[in-house]
Amino acid sequence: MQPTPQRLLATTATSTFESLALLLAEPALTPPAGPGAADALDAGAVGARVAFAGTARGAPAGGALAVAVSAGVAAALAENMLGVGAAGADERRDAVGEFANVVCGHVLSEAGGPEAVFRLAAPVSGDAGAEVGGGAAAGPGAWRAWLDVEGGAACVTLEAPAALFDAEGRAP
Amino acid sequence: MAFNVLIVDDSAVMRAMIARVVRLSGLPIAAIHEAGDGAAGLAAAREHWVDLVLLDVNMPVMDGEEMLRRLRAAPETADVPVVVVSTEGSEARRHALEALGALFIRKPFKPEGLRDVIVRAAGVTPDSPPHAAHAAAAPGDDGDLDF
Repeated sequence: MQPTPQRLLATTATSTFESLALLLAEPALTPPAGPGAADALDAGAVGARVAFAGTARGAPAGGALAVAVSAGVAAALAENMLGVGAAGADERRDAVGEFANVVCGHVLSEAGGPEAVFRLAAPVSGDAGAEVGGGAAAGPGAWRAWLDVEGGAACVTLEAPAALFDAEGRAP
Repeated sequence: MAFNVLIVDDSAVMRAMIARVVRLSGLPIAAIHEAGDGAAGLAAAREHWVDLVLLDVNMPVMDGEEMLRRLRAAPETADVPVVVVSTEGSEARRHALEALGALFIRKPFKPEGLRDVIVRAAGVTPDSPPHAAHAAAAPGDDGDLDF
């Protein structure tokens, strides 16, 4: 079965949590309701956003991938990646930014195919507010996946031209 | 004789993660230098003797592909082994990097996968000296390291 955009986001984020930081994750059975990801996460949530530009199947394809994770997930990401007992705030933001970077690269190569060429901007990370990972709700041209992760929750949102996917919303 | 390694990545957490794998690789390590972008990486490569470069692609100021081209263009760094550690999924860009003599491993990597490609790029077994067999690192042969 080919992945829908939401399934692609969920499976990519799940495998990245596991391989980058040995964290177990799975798609949330009951995604939180609300206008934005930040509203459903705790006060210490961390977000990151990676903008991209490029071409896929001959058409321009620019957009962004945003990640928002609860405070416990940000801490676990940084601490497992670094192998330390207590990561600081800068390390947590950096770890979430790198997580977003890896997820974005894999989602784009999966959706756009091996011939697609994208350039990813450096991740912008900070509190999970509107400007980074927890902004507007998914809508036209945006897809979102929620995950339950050890220590909390995570939300991944892709903003991209619909042409990146086929007519049924699947990555070709 | 021990290796001097240069890690170039805009993420401090990723640099630390790679440095951990390098230290656990079994290779004798003299020093690990770090830089946060390609321009700083070039400066570090000119300032220090470097036996191996581990290089990200998407970075601010100067990306990894440009840094790799400049390394190859300078006689003193033209032959230094380079491993690209990146999320890059484009075959065209990957082939361009491999044409410049770099090996490639995709993020997220498994520690043993990165260790293996580091050993291959350095062209040595953990007990032999650096620069022993740089030519043995065949561009385009990634040893099934895609995850």
